Amino acid sequence: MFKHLFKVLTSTLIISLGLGNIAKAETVISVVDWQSGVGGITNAYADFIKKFEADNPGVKVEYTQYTVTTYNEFLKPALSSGQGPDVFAVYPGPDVDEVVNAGHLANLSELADDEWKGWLGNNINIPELGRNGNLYMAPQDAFTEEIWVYNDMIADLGFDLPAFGDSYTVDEWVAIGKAAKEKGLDGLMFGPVESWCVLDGFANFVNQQNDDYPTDVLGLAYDGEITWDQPMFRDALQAYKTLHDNGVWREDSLSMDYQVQAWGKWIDREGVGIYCNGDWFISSAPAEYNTPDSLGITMMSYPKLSKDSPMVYNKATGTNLGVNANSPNLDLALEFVKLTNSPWASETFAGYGQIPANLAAVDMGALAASPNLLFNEGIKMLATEGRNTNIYYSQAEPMKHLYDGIMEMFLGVTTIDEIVEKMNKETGFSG
Amino acid sequence: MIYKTFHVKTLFYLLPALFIFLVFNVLPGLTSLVLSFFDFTGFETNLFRKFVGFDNFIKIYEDKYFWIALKNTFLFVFGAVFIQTGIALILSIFIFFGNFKFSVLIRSIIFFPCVLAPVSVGLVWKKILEQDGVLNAILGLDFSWLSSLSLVMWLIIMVNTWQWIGYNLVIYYAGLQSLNIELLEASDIDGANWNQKIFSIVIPLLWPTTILNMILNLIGGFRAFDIVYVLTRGGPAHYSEVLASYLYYYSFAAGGPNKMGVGASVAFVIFACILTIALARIFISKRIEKN
Repeated sequence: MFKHLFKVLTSTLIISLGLGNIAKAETVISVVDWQSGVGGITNAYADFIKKFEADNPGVKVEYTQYTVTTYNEFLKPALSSGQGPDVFAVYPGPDVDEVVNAGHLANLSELADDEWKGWLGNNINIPELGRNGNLYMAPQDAFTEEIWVYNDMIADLGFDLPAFGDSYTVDEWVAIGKAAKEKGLDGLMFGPVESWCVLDGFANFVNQQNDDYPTDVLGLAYDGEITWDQPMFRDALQAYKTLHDNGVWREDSLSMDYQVQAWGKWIDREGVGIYCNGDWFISSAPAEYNTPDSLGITMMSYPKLSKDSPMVYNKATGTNLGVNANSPNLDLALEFVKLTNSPWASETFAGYGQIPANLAAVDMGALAASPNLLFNEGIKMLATEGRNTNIYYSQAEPMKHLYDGIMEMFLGVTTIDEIVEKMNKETGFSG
Repeated sequence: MIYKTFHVKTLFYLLPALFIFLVFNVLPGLTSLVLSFFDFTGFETNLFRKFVGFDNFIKIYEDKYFWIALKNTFLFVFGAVFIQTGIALILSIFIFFGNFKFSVLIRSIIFFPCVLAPVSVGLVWKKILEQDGVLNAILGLDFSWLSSLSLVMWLIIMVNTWQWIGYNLVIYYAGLQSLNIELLEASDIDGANWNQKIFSIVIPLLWPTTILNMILNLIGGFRAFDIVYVLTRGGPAHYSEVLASYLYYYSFAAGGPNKMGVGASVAFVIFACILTIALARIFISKRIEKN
């Protein structure tokens, strides 16, 4: 009996060790991001991986995608336990500071070769990608963030679409919202449970009144260097209050997320427009509204506070990849990320309807004339002249208080005066 | 000698379970407690990099959403312990003594939600309670149930009760089946009516089962997370947050404060609440035994 058991255990051990060795014969590069559901990224990465594995025999790339909301559940334990992936995305904003400070990201300023730096071009200077004068993140896709509307629904409600590069005012959205309500629809689908959906629009409203542009007044306010008690912040809050109180989006939005619920309901045509949407969803847009012959969707920037407000755009890079500074396969990981920034990779992104971040590496004219009309609109939006808004900040605490304040204002349990007062207190503005 | 052998052997047999308990329960629990005194974002390899004393506890003390989460947690626990247990008791007595033809089927239907994943239950109820959901369609309303500050917690309690009531019912049913029927027969001879039989015999005899159900619901109530997260994510504006979801928000939420040290201090508060109630229960049980 024991002899038999011994034989079974020994055989199992030998087989396990053998399998382990077979597995070890292959070097595995792990790549992780938070773009689950973004078809353009998924498809482009499938091609990158295929090419990388072909160029590097014996190397396998394991690519895992999480959703935006669950990504940190994976990343935090992985990094803090020293088991982080070789290549990983980091949420833009405060997370970048923390991951850099924790020493997990390789310094690309030192490690990237000249060819790679050439591909990155001016992207090297995007503040969000670096810290302390060094580059840590390699941008993948670029986007504009705005409102998308169904053209036929706007027409049904009796409104004209704004000219390209223009957008509706807050008051016009109120009128559209009221007309939509009468037909049992929403003016805008809105997913404010994801805080960026609230904060990015706020940043846009503020920048519309920023007389000192390109000075980043919101950044100064988050740092407590200027008071929140001034019209540009008050009016931005009032714009949100007007949109909400007039039912431009449903009350129920306050418990809705953007990526699943708001987007899903917009796809189901429950709302005329979707707020804080972006080019990253070009590849996921309803195909029947984006055929090579006709485009049934219009992109426009956030609501203007008044007709005279300057056009302000939210433009940024989306997925930014970093290389794990402690990766046992550092060179291969760097090679993989370099590949994703190559002109070939940019063409691949574009082929799948995803705007590449390295636009310098591709022919913009050719890109904007693709059979994907919505993609062409995205490219045009990205190239549009106008004020650009910074949407990525590192001041986590003030951002939290602003977001909570706006949400409470929607609920009617706080006022603009109270938000302004609280923001001055929380940011340490001393006058 | 026999005593000693017994001890060594017992310990030997207990070792695997003890090891697992220590590694997966005690050690992480202690680490979490220590972590509540450190500034830890969750990304650092060195967990204990920056000692901040009681700052994390002061932070939650000063945060009004912590108090909302604490109040909601106790409301949720109240719902689970009293409302859920109470309804389960009434239903079990009704079904047991009702002698319905399809009582097995009725029990199965009531128990059915227990086998569903809370996430699925949450998603289904979200569809029902949405502004364009099933409930409003039936009632002909355009009301935002889940964004109503006064209703949202009660709706969460209702969904939780709907899901878990069958579990309590099954336990009660087992208790009822083990009741001494002779007592009821004797009360019949004494001329007791149904009210007297239920309130003077059945419910007192079911007291140990009621305590068991209450304790199970109490523990489950403090651990509540999934149903809240799926239904409202603690919203609107943190007004349906419970301690566990508040902990998650501080520790992991996308766009959240990224402060796992604060999250650990919330975990300590949850632990302290459960410990206090457990100690109170032991104390009360001993007092009752003594008397």
